[in-house]
Parts: sequence; C-alpha cells; structure tokens
Amino acid sequence: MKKQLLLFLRTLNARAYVRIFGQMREATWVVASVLGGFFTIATYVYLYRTLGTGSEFSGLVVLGGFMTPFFLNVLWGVATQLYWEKEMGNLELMLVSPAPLSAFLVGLSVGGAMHTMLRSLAVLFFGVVIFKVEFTVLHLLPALLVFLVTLFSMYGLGIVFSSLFLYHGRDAWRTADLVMEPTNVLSGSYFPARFLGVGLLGIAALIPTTLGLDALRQLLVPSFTLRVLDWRWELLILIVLGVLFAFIASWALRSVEYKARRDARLTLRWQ
Amino acid sequence: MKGFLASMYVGLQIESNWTKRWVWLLYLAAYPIGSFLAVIILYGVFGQKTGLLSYALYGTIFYYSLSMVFFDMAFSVHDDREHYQTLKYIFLSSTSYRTYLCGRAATRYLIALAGIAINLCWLVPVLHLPFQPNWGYLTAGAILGYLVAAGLGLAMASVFLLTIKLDVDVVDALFGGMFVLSGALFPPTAFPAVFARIAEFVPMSPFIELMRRAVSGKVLTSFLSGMSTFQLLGRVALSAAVLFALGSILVSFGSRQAQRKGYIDVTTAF
Repeated sequence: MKKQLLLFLRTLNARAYVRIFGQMREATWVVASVLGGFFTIATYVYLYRTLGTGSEFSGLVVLGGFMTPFFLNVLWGVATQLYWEKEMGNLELMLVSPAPLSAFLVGLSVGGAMHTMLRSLAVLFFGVVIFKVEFTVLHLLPALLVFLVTLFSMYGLGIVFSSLFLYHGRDAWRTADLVMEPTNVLSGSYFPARFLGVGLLGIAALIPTTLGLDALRQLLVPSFTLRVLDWRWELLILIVLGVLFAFIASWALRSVEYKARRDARLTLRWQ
Repeated sequence: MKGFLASMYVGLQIESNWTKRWVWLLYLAAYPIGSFLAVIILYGVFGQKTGLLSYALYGTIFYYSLSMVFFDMAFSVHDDREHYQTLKYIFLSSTSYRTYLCGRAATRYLIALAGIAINLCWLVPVLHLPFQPNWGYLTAGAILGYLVAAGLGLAMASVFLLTIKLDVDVVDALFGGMFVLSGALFPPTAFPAVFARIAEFVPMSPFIELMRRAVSGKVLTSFLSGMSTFQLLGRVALSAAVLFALGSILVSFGSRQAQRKGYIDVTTAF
C-alpha cells in the first residue's frame, strides 16, 4: 500500500513537473496565451460599453477571462492529452511502466492548474489595470475556497473526458473543437449565467465553471446582483460534482483502458 | 491547378473522413454556432434597443470564415510536420508548398461558407435579419476575402516553418487582436479615437463591412459608411493583392530556409 502510494505521488510529481516547467521554457507560449486571454476580455468589455450596460459588467468579463484559461487547459491539456500521447507514441510506453495512469492524469491536472494560474493571474492583472475594474477583497478566503473547489471539479471532468478521448480518435478531437466555444459561452464566461434561462442553466450547471464563476462574482464583484443561487449552495453543488466526477473518472479510466486494450486501440495512430 | 485541386481533395479528406457522412454534415452545420452563440445571447439580452444585432451577427460569421483559412494554414504546418509527419513528402511532391496550403485552406473556407449558408437559413427568419443579397458583391467579396486571409495565413505559415516550437496560441492571439479591432462584433466607435482609426486599416475590416452590405443590402452603422460598396470592394481587392503577394513571397522564403535548416522533418513532441 505504502509502495503504491509512493509510486502514485512520484508519478504525479514527475508529470506535474514537466507541465509546469516545460511550459515555461518557451516565452512565446506564455506571452501568446496571456495576449489571447487579454484580447478576449477587451472584446467583451468594449462590447458591453457599446451596449451601454453598467460598469460592473467589465468586472464580470475580467473574472470570466481569469477562469477561461483553466477551462481551455482542462479541455486541451487534460481531456485530449491521452489522445495526443497515443498519437505521439508515448502512451504505450506509459502503459508498460508500473506508473498508474490515474496518477499521470492527476499530475497533469495539478501541473496544468499551476502553470495556467500564472497566465490567468497575468490576464487578471492587465484586465484590472487597463479597464480599471474594482473587486472587493472582503470575502477573499471564501472566494479562494470556491476557486479551488471549482478547479477540483473542472479537472475531475477533464479526467472523465480523457478516458473517452483515449478510446476515440480524431472524432473526439473534433468534438472537443466543436464544443469548446459553446461550452465557454454557456458557462457564463462573458455574461451572468442567469440570463441563460432555467432550461439551459440546468445543462450549463454541469460545467463546473458556470456555478464557480457565479459564486466568485458574488464574492468579488461588489455590485453583482444577478446571481443564480447563493454562493454557499453553489459551493456545495461544486463539491458534489467534484466527488462525482472523481468517481466517474476512476471507473471510466479503468473500463476504457480495458476496452481500448481489448480492441487494440491503444497504439492505433492517425485514426 | 491540378496540384491545387488535389490539395483541396486532401483538405476535404482531413476535414471529413473521421466520421460518417451524415454526422459530418451535422458537424458542418453545428460548427459555426459557437462563433455566434454569444452574439445572439448578449445582443438578445442587452442589445435589443441598439439595433446592432445584424451588424454583429454578420460581422462575426464572416470573420469566422476568414479565421478558418488563417488558422488552417498556420496549423497545417505543425499538423503535417509533428502530428502526421508528412511535411517532408509534401515538399518532395511536384506541387509547391504554397499551392498545397492554398488548396487545403480553400476547402476549409468552402466548408465554413457552407456552414454559414446553412445557419443563415434559420437565423434570417428567426431573428428578422435584413437580407437582400447582392450576389455579385457576395461572390467577389468571398473570393477576395479568401485571398486576404490566405495572404495572412501564408505569412503565418512561413513563421511556423522557421520555428519548431511556436504554439498555435500565437495565431489565436493575433486573430483575437484583429477580431477586437476589425469591428466584427461592435462598431469600433466604442474604442478610444486612436484605435477607432486603426480599426479602419485592419485588413479584415473592409471585407467584413463589404460582406455585411452585400448580404443585408444596407449600411448598418456609421463605420466605413463614407465609402460606397464599390469603393469597399476596391479596397478589399487591394488588400487581397498586397497580402497574397506578400504571403507568397514569405512562404517561398520560409520553405527554402526551412529546407536548408533541416526543419522540414523535425519532431519535438511538445
């Protein structure tokens, strides 16, 4: 048991290390992703100015811009990672090693969250400075708790999808490409999720970013009144979602790995 | 021409042979929705009184059509070199790399335009969008728009040929910046005066405005309203000629340098 735990932690550490430091080696990657995030914020801040909405909407957009890189990292850095490892020929090496696949994915998530944090903070900084957005720090601790639980839940969902992408090939990649923007919109990154209406909100609530962002806006944007639920309820739902995703991820990874081995899809490239 | 058509066929296979034909047709129709979903929600909730929905919607979908060309050209260098490891074979073939890139991107552009056409069939009646197409301007604008985007895409592809580890995030950032400035989503009059002036010179701006007018039959805002539709067409044609020539030169230079430096078959697995 102790040996297994040690192996899990060492694998986690090894994969997280590559994600954190590997991504820092190329300055252009960091600059481009920060710029991309900033331009998205700028687009929606100016759009709201055109629409003549209140200045608090700039704060909502900047917070959305802060969370969006995490969502993109979950989708492209965790969910599709096993597919890319397969395409690059690394997956077979990982599977013949004694390291558990789940530790690899958790390490990927921890590393991904940490390197994305720097980019998100940079986007937040530029958003606050350039668009003169004001946040309240009165509820900083609960906001931090909500943020961490949202990340836990988001990356759990990413690991669930990574199992699906392991089995499927280009179709999974295309699906990720197809759902990226609608999911980003439905999670309320650019506007309060309440405007989605009950039907769409029910679906959108399954994306952890939706309730996480709504809770963060309640805690950090002083004039935000368009909440979906009280942030405490949202925190509770996010915890339940996170635990649920963790269980599903663990089950899905085992069963899809077995299915992929049986159908000889683990080394099948370019399909 | 034979090489161009063959490249278009390759592009079609890459885009479509991952699934059954009917699933791909659904995908083709559903894909552009992500580009305008936010526009419908935001203008539907907050912008009903502004009357800018048609401006933003047409602007966004035509910008989306260009982004497909631009992104496809830049990404295909990385995709062929790293992922499919076929770039060296493309260089060995009798078709020039520029022709190959243009052919692949032309398919992507046609697919994007087909997706737009399908979606306009329901967007126009449901959202009561102004729709009085001038087919001449639309056709000319679509062809010239492809050349504008292809010019930028070729320039970007040349950069990708000469760099091994450059991420496609760079393309996203560039296109994100041009999206803000081009006035696709809102009239650039919302910007500070300097940026509003710059917006008029972003290569995409006249194309988007031309297509807006060509499809709606109206001048929807004061942005570029001082120019007639014919003048806009002339400006798009000029942009297309300059950018495509520049892109062609850069990609030829990039191809030669990449071959000399041994970048054609380098894989990094990053």
